[in-house]
Amino acid sequence: MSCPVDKPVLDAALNMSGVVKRFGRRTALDGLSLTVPAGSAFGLVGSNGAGKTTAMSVVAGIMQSNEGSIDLLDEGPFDARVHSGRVSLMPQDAELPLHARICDLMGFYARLQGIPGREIAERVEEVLRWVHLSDRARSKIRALSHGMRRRLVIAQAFLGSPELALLDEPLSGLDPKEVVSMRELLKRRPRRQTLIISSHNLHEIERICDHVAFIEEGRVVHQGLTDAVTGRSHAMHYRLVSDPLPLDALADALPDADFEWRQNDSTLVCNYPHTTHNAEQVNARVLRVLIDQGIGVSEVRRGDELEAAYLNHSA
Amino acid sequence: MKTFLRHVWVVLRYELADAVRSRRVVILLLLYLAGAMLTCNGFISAMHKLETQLADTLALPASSSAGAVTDALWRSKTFRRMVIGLVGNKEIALEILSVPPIAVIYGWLAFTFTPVLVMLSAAGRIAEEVSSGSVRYVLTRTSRPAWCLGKFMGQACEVLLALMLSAIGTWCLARFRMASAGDLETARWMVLYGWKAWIYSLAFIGLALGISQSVRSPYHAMGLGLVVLIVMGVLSVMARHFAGEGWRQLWQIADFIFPINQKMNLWRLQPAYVLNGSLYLVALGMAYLFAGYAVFSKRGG
Repeated sequence: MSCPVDKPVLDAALNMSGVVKRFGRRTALDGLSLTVPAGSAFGLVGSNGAGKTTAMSVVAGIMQSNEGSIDLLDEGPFDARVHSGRVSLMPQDAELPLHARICDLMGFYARLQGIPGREIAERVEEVLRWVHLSDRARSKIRALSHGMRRRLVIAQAFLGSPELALLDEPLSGLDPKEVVSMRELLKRRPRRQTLIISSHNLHEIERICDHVAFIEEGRVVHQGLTDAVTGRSHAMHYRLVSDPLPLDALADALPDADFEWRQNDSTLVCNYPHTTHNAEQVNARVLRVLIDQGIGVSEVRRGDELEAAYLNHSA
Repeated sequence: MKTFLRHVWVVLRYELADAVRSRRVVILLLLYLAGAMLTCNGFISAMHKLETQLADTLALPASSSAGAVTDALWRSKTFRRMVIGLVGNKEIALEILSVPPIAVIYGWLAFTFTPVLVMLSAAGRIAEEVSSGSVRYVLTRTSRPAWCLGKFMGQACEVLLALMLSAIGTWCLARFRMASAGDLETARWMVLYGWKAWIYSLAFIGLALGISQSVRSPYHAMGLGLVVLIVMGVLSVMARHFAGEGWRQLWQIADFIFPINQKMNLWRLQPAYVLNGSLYLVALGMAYLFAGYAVFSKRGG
C-alpha cells in the first residue's frame, strides 16, 4: 500500500468536539469528543447502541451532526470535494449493488476518487489481490458468498490508499483464515494511514489497534493508548496458587510500585512506574520474592485483557 | 466546479453502463419500441379498415396499403375546418395539419405514455440505493448534488435513446404499411416529436428522482410516482374546467406547477413556443429534483 507523502504531517487525523446527533427524541451522540492521532489504528469499543456507527456516519458525511465540530484531516468536516479518495468508509450492513460486476463497480469508485484512468486497473487489481478476489474480478456481486462480499467491502475501503479508513466491524462474517489475513493486512498498512475500527470483537481490537476509546451512551468514557488502557505498559498480573501475601517483602523489593490483591481471581496486580522500570525488571524482583516465600505462581501476564479493561470502565 | 462536473460525468456514464448490464435499458427500449409500434400498427389497421369500407360504400377500388384516403382527407378543407373547431385554435390546428398524420399519432403516443414509463423506470433509482445502503459507498467519494444530477442525466439519456429508437421503429412500420409514410419527411417529423417528448420527459424525470430521494423504498417511490401522475392529470383537467375569476384563479396555479400544461407549447411548430415550453419544463424538472434533494440532503444515506 502506498500513501501520499507530499502533504504536511498531521498530529491528528480526526478531531471531534462536543458532537451531538439526535434522531427525533433519541440522542445517539451526546457531546462526543475524540482525537485520533494520525497514523494510528484507533479502536472504538462500546455496547450496542452506544453510538459507534453513528459516529462513523457523521465523520464520513453520511449524516449531519446537530451540534459540535469535526475536523477531518485538518480540513474541516467531511466535504466530498476535499476528502474524496482521502477518507473511506466500510459500513457494517450496507449492501453493494448486487447486479454489478466487481471490476466495473471498483472502476466506478476509483474514477469518482480521481484515480487517473491509466492506474485504475492496477489499483483495483491490487486491492482485490489483498482480499483474495483477483480471480473473481469479472463476477457479479450476487454470485459471491457472504464472506466474499465482506472482503470486497474491505477492498473498496482501501482503494487508492486513503489517508483515513473508517471500518465498521471489518472482520465480522469472515472465516478464520481470512480473519488472520485481514488482520495482517490492517497491521501492514502504510505508516501514515489512519484506521478507525469499530468492533465488538475486543480481542481483534486489542491485536490491531494501538489506541482505543470506550463509548457509552454517545460519549467517550475513556480513551488512550491500548497498552495504557489495558495496563500493559505499567502493570503486571500474577495469578497465585497460595497465600499469605508477602506484601512487606514486595514493597521492599519495589518501593515505588503499588500492589493490589484481587481476591476474586487470586491475582496480585503490580502497578509500576514505567518511566523507571520495565516489565522484565519488575518480574525479576517480584517473582524472586514470591518464590523465596514459597508462593506458587500459575500465570504471569502484562496488564489486563481489553475486555476486562472495558468492563471495568463501563461498569 | 471542475470536480463537480467530472463527478456528474462519471455517475452519468456508470448509470448508462449499469442500465445496459442490468438489462434495465433493454427492457425500457423494448417497452417504448413495442408500445409505439403496436399502437401505431393498431391505428394503421383501423384506418385501413375504415378506408376499405369507405371504398366499398362508394364502389371504388380499395387500396392495398393504408393511408391513401386519410392523406386526401387530411388535406381536405372540410376536415381542416373540423379539426380547427376541435382544437379551438386555428393557428395550432393548421400547424398540426401540416404534419403527416402518422407522425401526429406517434407524437400523441410519445407525449401520453412517456411520463408513465419514466415513472416506472426512474422513480426507484435513488430509493433502491438508499434502501440497500449502497449509496454510502458513493457518498464518501462524491457529493450528493453531483450524484443526483448524474443520475438525472443518465436517466435522461436512457429515455432519449428509447424515444429515438421508438420513432425509427414506428417509421419503419409505417413505411411498410402506409402508402405515403415512407418518406424521410415523415421520419424527420417523428424524430422531432420524439425529441419534443424527451424535453417533456425531463420534467417527469426530475419528478421521479425527486420522489426517489424522498422515499426509502423503490417500490413505494414507484407507486407514489404513479399516484402523483394520476393526481396531476385529474387536477389539470379540473383546473381547466374550474379556472375563472376571483378565488377560482387559484386553479391557474396548476398551469405553473404541472408539466402537463406545458405540453401544448411543444406541439407548436414556431421555435419561440417550443423554446418557451422547453425552458419551463427543464426548470420544472430541476425544481422537482431539488425539492427531493432538500429531503435527501438532510437525512442519512
